Amino acid sequence: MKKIIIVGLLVFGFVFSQKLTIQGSTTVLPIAQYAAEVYMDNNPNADITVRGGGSGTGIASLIDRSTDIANSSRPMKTKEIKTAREKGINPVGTVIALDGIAVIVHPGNKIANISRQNLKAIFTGKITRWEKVGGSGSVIVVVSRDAASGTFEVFNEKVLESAKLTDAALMLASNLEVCRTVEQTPGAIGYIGFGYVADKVKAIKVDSIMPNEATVKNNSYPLSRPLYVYTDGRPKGMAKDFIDFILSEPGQRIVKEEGFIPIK
Amino acid sequence: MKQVILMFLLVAMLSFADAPIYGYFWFRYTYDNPMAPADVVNNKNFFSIERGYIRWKTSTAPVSVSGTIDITLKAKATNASDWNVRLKYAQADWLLPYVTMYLPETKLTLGVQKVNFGIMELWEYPVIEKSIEEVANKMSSADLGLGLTGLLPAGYGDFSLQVFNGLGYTKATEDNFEKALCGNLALIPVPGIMLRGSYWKNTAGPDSMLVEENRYAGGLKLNYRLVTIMGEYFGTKDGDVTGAGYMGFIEVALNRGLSVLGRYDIWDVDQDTDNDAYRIMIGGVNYRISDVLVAQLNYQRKKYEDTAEEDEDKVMLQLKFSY
Repeated sequence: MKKIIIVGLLVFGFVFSQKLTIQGSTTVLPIAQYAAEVYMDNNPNADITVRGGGSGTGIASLIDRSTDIANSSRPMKTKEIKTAREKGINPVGTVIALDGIAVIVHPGNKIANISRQNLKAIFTGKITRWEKVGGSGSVIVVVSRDAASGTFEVFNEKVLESAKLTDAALMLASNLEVCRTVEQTPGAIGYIGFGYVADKVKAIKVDSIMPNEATVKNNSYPLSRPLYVYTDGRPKGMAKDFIDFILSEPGQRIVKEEGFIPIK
Repeated sequence: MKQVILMFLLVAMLSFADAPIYGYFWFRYTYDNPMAPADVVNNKNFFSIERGYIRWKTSTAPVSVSGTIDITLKAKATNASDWNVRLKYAQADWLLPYVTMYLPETKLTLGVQKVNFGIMELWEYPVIEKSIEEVANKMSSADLGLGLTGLLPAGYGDFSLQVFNGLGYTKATEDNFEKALCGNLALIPVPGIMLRGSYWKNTAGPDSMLVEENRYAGGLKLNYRLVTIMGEYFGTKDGDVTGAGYMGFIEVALNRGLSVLGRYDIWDVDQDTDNDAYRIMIGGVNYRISDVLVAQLNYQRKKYEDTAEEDEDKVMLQLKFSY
């Protein structure tokens, strides 16, 4: 009898468990993961799977219906919206947090500020030595995110202005990898989501403005950006419940704890 | 042989230049007229490489340059010269800086490029057969010329205006001063519904024997969850000869990897002449083996209006490999 009850409860749990799949930006990943853990603790029937892969991958997954929520650290491009609409998907974005793309260098580097113009020259390979921009460590090692990354897209738009990234750049798949590489390479410069800045790397000012809660919120930091979640149509069901949770006070506390800036 | 050496030299050069190289190959097995007696049908079954795209792209904003080489082994190949290496696309795209603020991704394209006409532009070969325009031999999928293409705001569709030589990508030059014009507009008023209209006009032939060619297409594409439906009317007017046809297509995805498909075409090359029309019926299954490999199985029947002509059947199995 006991076995029947256990099997019955398992079947009941399986039938009535609510599933939600989330995929996309590695910048938004820590917020989504932490929020999913807390949400599942509060809702035992909820079964949330969270994956990274980059903003482009998440949006592509929303378009081919393999994810319920796409995390993105950039707004969807018109081309992606058109493809989505053609396939019967109506992408609706919700801003869940704010972020500044922090420019980081090795902690031993004396540089404290860089202009966007010099940043562009470094990332396009026109400046290759630190002494030309007031830094230390001789040759500059450029560390970038790969093309599937929303962080790359925003950096490309706001700094590179679509100019070609230097062929010498190391293209890495996550914020964490960029952070680790810069930490271990004396001449390195990279960029990561604000929430990933750790003690072992040095964040520097861009155009004399340091990324922090105030400068990102008032948009004076030049590399500020909103972080999005996209759904097919207005969020409904469990997706709505989960997004509402991130937008609630406890959800926005998670945003802050993960190093990002709450919208409220 | 010369073509193959040139192609390898080009690919080696592009690899050295760090231009990303990508593309796909289609390996096909065809069984012609499986129901017919063996002694009346030649080449009952054969292997072929119908498409072998090697693509590269390099960009220095706001201009990007891309190209596609197509290597094929013609169906029913009998000797080494049946290997074909040709340039399918070779284009320079210039993203227009101010226009893109209102019409996103609007660009000027120069070179051998895709002809944005009718269902042909959308056709990603969910069944193995080409689009109705190409099967009827009335349009070429690529041509040499100049194009203006872009997106409507907020993903509501796209547009293009193109000027071509008008002879397709296999011929570099034409015999007259007349250029072909091609216009296309696609609207997506609500997600899942796309309406398309296309027009092509060309004056073909040598200067002494010019013939005006007109092509019209109007189409509808519907997407609802796991079902895709496409329909198109395709009309032609070459001098005094008027042709018309319809194509209907449906795909139902059974799960993420498996889908069943069907297509039905009617084409009448000259509406004023009897017994020159045909119908094509296709049934198929697609199976996505992995992200880079898709298997397609199609049965296809071509039925002629002229009862003196034998119907044609074929079974095709194709592997599409992308890299």
